[in-house]
Amino acid sequence: MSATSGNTCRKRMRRHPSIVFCSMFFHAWLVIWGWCLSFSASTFAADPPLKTPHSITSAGATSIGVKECAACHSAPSPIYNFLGVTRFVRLVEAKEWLEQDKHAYAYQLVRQDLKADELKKEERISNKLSMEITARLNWKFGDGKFEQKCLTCHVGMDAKESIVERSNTIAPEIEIQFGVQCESCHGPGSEYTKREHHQQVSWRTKTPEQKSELGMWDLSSPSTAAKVCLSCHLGDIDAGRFVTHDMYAAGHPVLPPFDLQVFLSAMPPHWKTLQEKPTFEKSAEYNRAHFDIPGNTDEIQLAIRGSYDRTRRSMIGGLVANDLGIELIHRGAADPKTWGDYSIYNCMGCHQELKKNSTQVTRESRTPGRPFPANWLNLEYPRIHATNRETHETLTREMLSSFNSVPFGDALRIHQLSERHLQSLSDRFQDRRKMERQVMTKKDVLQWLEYLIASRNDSLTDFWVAKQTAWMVCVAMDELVKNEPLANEWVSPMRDELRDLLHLDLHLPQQQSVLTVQKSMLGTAQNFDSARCKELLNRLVEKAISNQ
Amino acid sequence: MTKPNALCRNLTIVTATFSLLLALVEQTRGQPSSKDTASSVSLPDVPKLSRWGVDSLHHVAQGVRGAASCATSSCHGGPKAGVSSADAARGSEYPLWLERDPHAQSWKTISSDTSVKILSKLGILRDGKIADAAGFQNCLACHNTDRTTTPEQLSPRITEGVGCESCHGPSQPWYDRHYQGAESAKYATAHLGLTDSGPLLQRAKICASCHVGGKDRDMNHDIIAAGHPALYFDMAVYHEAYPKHWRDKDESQPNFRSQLWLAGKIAMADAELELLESRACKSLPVSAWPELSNYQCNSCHFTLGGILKPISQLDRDLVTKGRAPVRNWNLSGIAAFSVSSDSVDSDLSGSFSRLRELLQSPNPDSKLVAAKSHQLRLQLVDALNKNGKPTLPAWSIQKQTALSIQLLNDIQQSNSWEAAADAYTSAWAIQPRSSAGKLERAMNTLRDGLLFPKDLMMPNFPRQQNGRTPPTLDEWNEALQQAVAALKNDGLR
Repeated sequence: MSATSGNTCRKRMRRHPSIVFCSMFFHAWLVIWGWCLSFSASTFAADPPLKTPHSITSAGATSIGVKECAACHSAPSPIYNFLGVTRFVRLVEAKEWLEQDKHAYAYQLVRQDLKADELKKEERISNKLSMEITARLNWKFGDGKFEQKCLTCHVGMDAKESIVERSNTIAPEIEIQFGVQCESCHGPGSEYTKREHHQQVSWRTKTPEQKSELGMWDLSSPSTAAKVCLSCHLGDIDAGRFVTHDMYAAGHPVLPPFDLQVFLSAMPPHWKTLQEKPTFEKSAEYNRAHFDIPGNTDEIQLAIRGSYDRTRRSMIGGLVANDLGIELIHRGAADPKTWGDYSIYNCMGCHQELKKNSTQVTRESRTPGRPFPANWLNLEYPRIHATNRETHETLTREMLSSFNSVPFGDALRIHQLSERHLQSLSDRFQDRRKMERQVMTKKDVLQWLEYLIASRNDSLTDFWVAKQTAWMVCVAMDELVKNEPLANEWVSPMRDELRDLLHLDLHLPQQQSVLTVQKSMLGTAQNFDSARCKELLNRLVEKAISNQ
Repeated sequence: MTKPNALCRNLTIVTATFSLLLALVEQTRGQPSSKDTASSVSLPDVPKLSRWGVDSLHHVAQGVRGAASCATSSCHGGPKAGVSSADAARGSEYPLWLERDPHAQSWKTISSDTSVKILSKLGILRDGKIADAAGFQNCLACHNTDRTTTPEQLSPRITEGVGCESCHGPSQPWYDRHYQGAESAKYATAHLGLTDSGPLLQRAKICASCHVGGKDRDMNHDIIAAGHPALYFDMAVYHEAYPKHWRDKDESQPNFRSQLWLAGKIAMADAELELLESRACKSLPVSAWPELSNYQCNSCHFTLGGILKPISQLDRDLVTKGRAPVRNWNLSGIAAFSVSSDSVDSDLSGSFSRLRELLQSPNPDSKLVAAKSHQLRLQLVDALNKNGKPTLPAWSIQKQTALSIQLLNDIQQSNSWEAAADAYTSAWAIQPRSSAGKLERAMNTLRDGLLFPKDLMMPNFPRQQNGRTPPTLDEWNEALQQAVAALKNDGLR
């Protein structure tokens, strides 16, 4: 975000002096409380197996609102430094988020009472677009639809708890003008700020699972983080977070494919990584709770410092996206009457020019003329760590054929098959957890790359698959270059070319509105040089392997 | 004398019971069945719809003799010497068809490399063998007189292509009768399945049974996606291009072409509704529901980057709601018919727009669509009814001109290829063109514009070139204005 938007934020802070007052009050209170702080060595409960895959349950917890969080997380006072609190929490989170993070603007883009000059030009265009979209769909602020279909993502509200029950009002404690806010991603705060306070020393000794029971989701776990991001960036029908084809047709920009690492690096970081936290230095138990490594603390540190953390995050994020795609299909096919929202199909399956020799749609093994599922559902994406790969591959094949058997797919059959997929999910979730705690070595990375390219080689003609694959390959290549003195001179030209071919940058180019970017990206998606992309990706991976 | 009376009474009772039964059948077919439709439903021949007189075309298996049996030199294998009267049969139908009619080349078409590719993509052919008999028979229904071919045994007449009996009906039942005098031939037409290709409406219905489709032949979106050209039939244009093996008495009448045009439009609408009903009932194994070719190509097939430009405002409103507008090409006859009949049949247009709305709603219920299409067909037959058979309503050049002007004016708003081609063919059917110079030039530009010029129309089919440079958008629009002006000037007098 530029300086202009920063100014807007400061203006908004001035409009909400309560944040500053609360903040001062809490500072004073913390000084007293702080004397009690000490960093004793802690004991860790055994890591209990999770009940549901990607569980981010928060029993009964409710939102408390961004002001409560901002009271402490806006600016660290010198006393925090003195007490060492800032060694594990930066305490500038709310400020950085509000000033720099796009998520804080999510509501501004869709708000219906925008006055002139409140946003900078590019964002005003986005807002105008959202007004057009809602006008076409006939949704208005306060009619329930706008809240249930738009604000679920643009504010990060929970459709069930906050909106459905009060269909015409916004839950008063959620200040919607702050967009996607702290609790949208970290979990509702009523329990961890009241019943068992997360400021207490004992909080540091809790396992991620215990924290999660109290409502604070463990975002240090890539699979939980991916689940949280994907509930908007892919969709969650039950939570009211799902961009339907009606919304796309009315003008909603296309959701890009997802890569956890790439998306996280595009965010201004308001967090400290596990490695940066003091507990990491001190406690072997703490490390074991997060990393499944035998040996003493020094060995663990050494292994983790040299590990391929980013590649692992990207890989696990991809696998979680895969699982969630199947969950989405399962939920959608539950009712054959409403089954078949066009947004779950590949755009290019229908929106193609009727030219001969179109490279977009490869028709092998498909009945011609039938829409096929979008690649972001990753139904064709084999799992590398699946314990029962054979079953998975049979299921994948059957799933694709049931999409093929009748136009838009046989809902009943798709529901049954995705049910069977999901039944094996709990096992695979344990796999994810295991993967999260294993240190990824260079050998693993190369294996992963080789596997990725081999399994996707045929589907790289699809722009979105090519883009997501390129993201994953680039994350891994960057980390290889960083960790080992790889010959960067051959990596970066190829990576740059890929970036241009596939629009890999997530940031909007300066002075360009969402409309311009969408238009040029969709144009590219239909005419991109897939042969060149394929060649570049293959060459990158081949060279990385041969350089070994 | 009592005996015949009793027979009469018995016959009356039997007929009455029969009609009652049929009426019941009709009734139940007219309403959506509450029972779950099985995957395959056979469509009964409803007597009212049999008035079209083309049912025999759907029962080819009953007795095809083959074109060769018509080709005796003293019958249709002539020519006979000294035939000069306009209403006399030529006697040279067979050699004319064989030498010049593209229908005679149909076997060549279906065994060409392109067709083999299409058949393979659809899984009908696998490793050079017929793997899907029903799929292949669906192809043969239009590409051959005889579709009794099975994977095990090819019909001996498989190379005949679209022969005599494809249009005139399978000849086994009527062969012996049709040359034994006018009365006998009339009987053959009324009862034995010899089709009556004389009246233009019936003739158009025969053409439409393949060039649009029908209850036993479905050229659907799967087949188009595999590479089969989409069907854009126009009776007047096709009739003009057709190497005729008959003579039309009325050919020199000024309104002949526009009569053909209207007959085509109405017959196409009936055929499209018949096909729609069959598709919705899934009566053929090749049919699928929802059937995407019921919708305008460009409601989905457009470039996402260059969003929505080529779609009319009306369609645009639908498309921005994520819905697909219904394809109008085969159904525009219902509107044309409403114009042609002096008292506008509001019932018919009402039913039509309700069916349209249903098709454009999300997840249209197939049973409801089947019922509504069927009902609309019955309404159409009733509206066309004269002396117990569908008859072309009175239609003048003035009416054709007024309609063409309206359609041409509409293009400027709708800006879709289909609408433009529809308007062009309507204007083309006006003959003779009195201000030949101006109108002719404008029409030529319009025609060249329909060869998919840049920036003009959707959809982006492969560009065809025939040596002429397509007009620019400005030139095309100017030609449009000129055509409208010329038509107003001359045609409406």
